Amino acid sequence: MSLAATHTRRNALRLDGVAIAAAVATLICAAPAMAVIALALTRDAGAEFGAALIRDGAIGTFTLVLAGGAGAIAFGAASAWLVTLCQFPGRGLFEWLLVVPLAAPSYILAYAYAGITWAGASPVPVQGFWGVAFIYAVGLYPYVYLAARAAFASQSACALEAARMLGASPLRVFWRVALPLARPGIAAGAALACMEIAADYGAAQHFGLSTLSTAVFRAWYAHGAPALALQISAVLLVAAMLFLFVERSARGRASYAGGSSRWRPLPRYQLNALAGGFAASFCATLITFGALLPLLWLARLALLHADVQDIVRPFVTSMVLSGSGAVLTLALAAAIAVAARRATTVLGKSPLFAAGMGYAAPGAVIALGALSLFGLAREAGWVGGLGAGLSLAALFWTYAARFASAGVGPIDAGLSRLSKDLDASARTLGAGPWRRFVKIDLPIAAPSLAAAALILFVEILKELPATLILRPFNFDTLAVKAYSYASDERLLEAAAPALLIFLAGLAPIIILARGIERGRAGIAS
Amino acid sequence: MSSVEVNKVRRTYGKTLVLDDVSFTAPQGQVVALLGPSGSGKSTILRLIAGLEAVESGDIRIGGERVSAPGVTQPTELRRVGMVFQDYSLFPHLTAGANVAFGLDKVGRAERDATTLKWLDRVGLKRRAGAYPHELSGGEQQRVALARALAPKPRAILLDEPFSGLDAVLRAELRDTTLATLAEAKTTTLFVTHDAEDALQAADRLVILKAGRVLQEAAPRDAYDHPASLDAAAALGPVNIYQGIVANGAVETPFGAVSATHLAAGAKANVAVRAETLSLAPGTGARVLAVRPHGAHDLVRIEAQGIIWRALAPARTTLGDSVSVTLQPAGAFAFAV
Amino acid sequence: MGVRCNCEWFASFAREATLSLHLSRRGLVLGASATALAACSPGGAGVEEENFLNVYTARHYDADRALYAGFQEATGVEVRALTGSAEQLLERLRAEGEASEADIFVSADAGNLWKVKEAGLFQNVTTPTLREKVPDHLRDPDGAFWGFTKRARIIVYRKDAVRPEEVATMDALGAARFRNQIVMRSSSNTYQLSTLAARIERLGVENAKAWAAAVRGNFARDPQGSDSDQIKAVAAGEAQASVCNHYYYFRMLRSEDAAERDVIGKVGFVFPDQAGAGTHVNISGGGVTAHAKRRERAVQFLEYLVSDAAQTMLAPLNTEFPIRPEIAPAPDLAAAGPFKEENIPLDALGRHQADAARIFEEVGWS
Repeated sequence: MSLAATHTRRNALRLDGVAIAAAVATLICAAPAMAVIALALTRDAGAEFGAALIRDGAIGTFTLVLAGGAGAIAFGAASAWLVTLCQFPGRGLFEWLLVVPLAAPSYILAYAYAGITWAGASPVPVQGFWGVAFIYAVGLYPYVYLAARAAFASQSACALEAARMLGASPLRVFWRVALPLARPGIAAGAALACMEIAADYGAAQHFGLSTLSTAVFRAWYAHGAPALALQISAVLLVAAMLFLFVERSARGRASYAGGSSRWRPLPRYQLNALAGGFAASFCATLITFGALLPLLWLARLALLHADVQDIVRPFVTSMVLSGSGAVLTLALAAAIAVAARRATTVLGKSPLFAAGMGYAAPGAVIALGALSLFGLAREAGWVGGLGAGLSLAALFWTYAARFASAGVGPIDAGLSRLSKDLDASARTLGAGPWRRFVKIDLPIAAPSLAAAALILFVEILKELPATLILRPFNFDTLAVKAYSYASDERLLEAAAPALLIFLAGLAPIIILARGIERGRAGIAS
Repeated sequence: MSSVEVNKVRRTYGKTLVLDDVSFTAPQGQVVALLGPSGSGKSTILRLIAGLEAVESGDIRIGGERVSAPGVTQPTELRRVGMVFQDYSLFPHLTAGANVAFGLDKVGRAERDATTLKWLDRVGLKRRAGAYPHELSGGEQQRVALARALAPKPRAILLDEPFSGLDAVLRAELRDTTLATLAEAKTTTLFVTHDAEDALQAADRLVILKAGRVLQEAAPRDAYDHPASLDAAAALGPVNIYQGIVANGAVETPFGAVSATHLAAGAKANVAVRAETLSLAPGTGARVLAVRPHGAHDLVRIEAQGIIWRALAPARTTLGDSVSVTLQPAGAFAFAV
Repeated sequence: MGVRCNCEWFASFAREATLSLHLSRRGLVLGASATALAACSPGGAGVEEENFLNVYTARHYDADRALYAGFQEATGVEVRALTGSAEQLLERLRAEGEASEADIFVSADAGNLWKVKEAGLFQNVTTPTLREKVPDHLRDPDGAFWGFTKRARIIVYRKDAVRPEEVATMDALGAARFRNQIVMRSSSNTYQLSTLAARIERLGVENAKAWAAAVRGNFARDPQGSDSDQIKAVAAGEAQASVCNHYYYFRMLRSEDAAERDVIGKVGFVFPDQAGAGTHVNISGGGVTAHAKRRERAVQFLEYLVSDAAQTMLAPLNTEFPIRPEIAPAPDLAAAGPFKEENIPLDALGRHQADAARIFEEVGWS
């Protein structure tokens, strides 16, 4: 039949709309980071301290990722297990309060803790290496908590019950069954936390630590060698890509993540008074150090210098910018996640790593990559100067390049609940790639998309360096405002915008937390 | 409605050979069962026909049109082949009605609604059109999946273990409903099962598979009465296997002689005797070892000359310690070793 | 300010964003979101076309906003600012090249201004007004950039542990007297680099390195925190002395936070090297960018910055010294008395910056 013949394609050339969209999205998200690597390879750095800077920085970043990451994993996994599988006073409240520290950027926590420690108001002096590791651990554990909680909640009650019937103690159930089953989820959350640590500049710089991120700025600012800064960034980016690849491969082998599709309420362990009290105070301590204490400190400073007028416009700007940035990044992240899930080869999954590495680099570096691409485009005569429009385009582009990973993760997790047969079903019913994407993938992943959107919103709300370098004239966000004051060492004035970043991030964070709670009631909604 | 022809199809996963030179035909409008144990490659055949996977050699034709051949795979969505998956794969975010309507996107709204209701009605679920999959029972989900697959008038419909995962009573009922619906639709049907009873009762034609090869392709009655091999015989029910020597055109067993005129005298032969074709009566010749209830029958283990066989006798037949065994020629087959 | 004002602002912004639509396809998305932004404005429009000046500035002071307002009042020209770190703004300027919308580049460090000049992104400007008002040692010899405020690098010490005469010179900080008693800011900080660069200009690389090594040897802790943090560390007893810009000392003195004023109560400060070469000073300054689209207005702005109006306006709002010696600084600054300034060509801070960074690296002053 001639009609059939025209539609019968060679296997090798099966490209569809979704694949093309994903390719374009990957290209957009990876381009600035790729530009950084390309520039690092082509430009002559010419500074004699490069090797030493990279060595010291790598040691610093590695040890901080180790210490801070381990803390975040321990806090996140333990608290997730407590609120999902145990019953103790305040459990329902802690379930969503534990997410709150996600709203505080590390640099603001660092400033707050420096102040608190100086004032002698901190029960533990926060300073030096362990101080920074502490800030990462209490500030970033929610990434692990969210992922681990989703993993624990979706675990088949049967496996856990089976373990209990075999006489395993709660602790043994945790170590031998629940934890290994949740490992892929925990790893995904931990990967985000670790990349945040690698990318952080503010906290490490403030406490005088040498990391790859601070080395980037040392090369750039002190040695006046942007080329060397790019090379150090390239090291960071390539390390991030390898890290993501290893994490993915490890996850790929652990394909037992799915579990049964039949959901039953998990029976919770009823903790006795002592254990319950311990569990409650553990959760309360995490929230206190991750959010409450710094929040109160900022509130105190903000009250000393209350200037509401000054932050109304930055607030509106922040909200609009974060909202539209989140939606744009989400669209790109969704295309990448869907295509990667349909792919079966390493090459097919490569967009995940390519688009993901931007998350591990300081925003300023990604912005530098975007700027240099803009410079090339300008020299080629494709674009003019950085007017307001182009400025914003470059800014959104950088957000996408920086945060795509934070969006891809939750979407991918949502899509993983989709059986491959659903896709096959839709195909046998005559649905092409686009229709399947729009009618099947998107609606089923909708809760995950919403979660991703909220995370992206908060990330962009907290974002500083890229915004600083790429924004149009007279365009200040809350983070820019806080930075402007803080860089001028006016911590009183910086407190109000910093506090507002915190508070503005709280609403989406709480929605996110409650959404997970409902999401626990099974796959169908 | 179109015939489905599978010609010399081969498929490997890595180094594992899943299908080896598989050929059979599903004639237009007929119900064909692909029967085999797990790992026999039967589900892979469905995925190849649906175009979800590519063939390595051989080809597949639907209605005479070549849809799969090495290097050429017509995309699933253009094949117009319906499929009901083992887990039904209903879209969890759509109602039963919307699930059925999903494949009808190319027709007008009024027609789509009418067709959807017509098919839901045929499977007896018209009133459940607004229900979401998780609100339906397993049997209801299966029927919605069937209606969904049939609604776009596919050229053929493929069912993957359609009745597994359901309890015995529901299973028989559902099998009848499904058969009636399929008969009404007059659609060429291929279904995969590991259950001989399902295959024998539901199919117009059987394709018996083992380890990626077709053992026999025949009408159910022919397959039952004239199995092509020991394995083919075993695929359709419990058999007793005895190895003996052909003498005088027959193989002598402890329970009676089995005709083997097609085999050379003095050759070794395998004899397969269907358990349900052994008649037992009070008498001598064999010893009863055990009697277990087995639905309408009792499963009886008998022993003679050190050989133990199984027999299905009508339930509550009074049996002593000792019985006489009659071997019915229609249920006993001799094959060359 | 208020909601109405925001809407007007978004409206003008949206218009501008839409204008740049033709520049890129991504602009389409922006155009759409910008139009959405515009929708929030009831009837905002009517900002006069093209009557503005674009400033890239690494200064983030509220006082600067008063300056911009003053300039608009005097000339009708609106100043649109893009704040950021000097190094990042320079990279942006570099990438933008001749297409840049920036007319003026302002930084609070002469070394950074020198980098812009080296990159060829300043144009030389000389007018009689600027020559007359800005002292020679507080501007670029070629006129690439001109100072409009100055800050001194002072030594702060804990009153109950140190007598002022013990810290009369920068050299004193390297003496054995202060073993484990000095805290310093990271050498990544531009003021730190400029201070050492000035020393290299006066006394040579060897001397500068010996001094840095001696001070490094007296550190009580690894460099960390801001200028204010050094003052706090001294007050808290972590060390006996440190170096900071006078600017931060006086801001803490005026702080709304009683705890910060307490800090100042415990420390004293000196202008070092009064008997010798004088105290190191640095400028806040600006220049006209090489590809300025509004050159005339830009020059006008530079002149405004050193005008009587601007200089007297800045004095009470800020804790910097006016660039013009004849303008009185804020009363508390004036009370600290006049001091002898180090007199070296300003571009030396830039020329020796790489050497300074290398020395810090070599002596392990991170």
